[in-house]
Amino acid sequence: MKLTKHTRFRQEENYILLCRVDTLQYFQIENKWLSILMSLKEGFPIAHSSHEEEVRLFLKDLVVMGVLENE
Amino acid sequence: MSAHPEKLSAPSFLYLNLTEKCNLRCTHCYGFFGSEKEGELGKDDFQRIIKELSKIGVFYANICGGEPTQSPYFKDVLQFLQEEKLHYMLTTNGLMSNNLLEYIHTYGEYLISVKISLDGFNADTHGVIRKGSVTMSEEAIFRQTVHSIRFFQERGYPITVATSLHRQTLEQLPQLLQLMLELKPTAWYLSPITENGRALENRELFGDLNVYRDMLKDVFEIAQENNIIVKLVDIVLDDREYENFSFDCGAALAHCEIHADGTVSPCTLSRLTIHQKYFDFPNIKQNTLKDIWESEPFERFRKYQTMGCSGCKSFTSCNRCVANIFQYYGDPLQIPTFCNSIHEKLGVKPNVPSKIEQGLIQIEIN
Repeated sequence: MKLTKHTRFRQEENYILLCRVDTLQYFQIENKWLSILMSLKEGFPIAHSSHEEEVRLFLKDLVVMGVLENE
Repeated sequence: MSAHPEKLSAPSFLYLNLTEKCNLRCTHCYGFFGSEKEGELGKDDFQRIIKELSKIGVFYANICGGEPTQSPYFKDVLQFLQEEKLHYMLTTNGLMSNNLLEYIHTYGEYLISVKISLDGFNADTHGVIRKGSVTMSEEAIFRQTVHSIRFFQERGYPITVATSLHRQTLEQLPQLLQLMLELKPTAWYLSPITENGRALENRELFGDLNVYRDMLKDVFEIAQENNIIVKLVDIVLDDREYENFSFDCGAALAHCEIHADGTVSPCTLSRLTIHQKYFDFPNIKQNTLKDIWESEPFERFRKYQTMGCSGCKSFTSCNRCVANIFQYYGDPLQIPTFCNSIHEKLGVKPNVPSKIEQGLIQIEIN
């Protein structure tokens, strides 16, 4: 999976601001997901975590929001 | 506890005004756009600015003017945007050659939408407020505008048609709706003419929106049913909407505008309507955007978004139009003029009409 070409994000003080610029939709994401978003942006595989189910659900949400797509 | 939104660490988007030069002299123009302004930004400035936008994480830029395609650096700017992979919108009157249309398409990888002004369903209505064009007939202007809309649409770019509701447009709304149903833009923005710039010298253009409220409602519903996203800018169709009225603006919080001469202000209006004696906005020629975002005038502007309007029911969900308040009153504690008519519903004391509202003096401009 990877971020779509039209997905942009950056870290604010208390959250990550994410934008689908093709539809101008904005999303606020918890800071704890920054490393996953960075991995997706850089095209690195997502590291296994001790909370795999939570990560899986997060990625599923990103697909639903249209900010993530299958390669 | 205040629920006023906090500023982002940097703008999420901004308007990048390439030039005040314009190939038209629209009588409703909110500026006095037409000729190039002294000291406009140059090619190197644009390159540096676009690099910084990318570096600080601005999501996209709205390329505007004047007429941005009239800038001698328009093509360079598109190249810089492509190099930095920075998404952009293009706000234009659509009057450009086929070569330029093709050039934009060539650099369209990061172009997310094109906004084109269209104010009437035919050459007469669209052209009546564009009388100042020295090189094109009203018929040619209308034909070229529609051609540009179709050009971008056929190539898959989302199109927003922006319509200024002058008197004649209001009278012919049903015909304009038919044209929209034929053109099928992604979005259609309808806005009243504002009391700024050249429009102040052409009062005959202003129509009474209340007279056309039912017609606007019909147009709104029919266009939406046909999958056109309709946005009525500063227009309230139903009195009940006033019950929850608040002014939701991201100026200085989520966005700002870089003007053609490099001045950076929270929004277009704040630069055009607030006299320099109240706010001396910084210039990007001498500063980085990040420094300007944190500068004293920007911080003071934000402070004014959260003060005054004592007693207003919408206070905590509203960040007030500071530009409007300074334009008319020069006093940050006053309420915006558009809240005056609904002050009872909002629970605030009305302002005494300003001398500008009474027509006693002209609005001060820089």
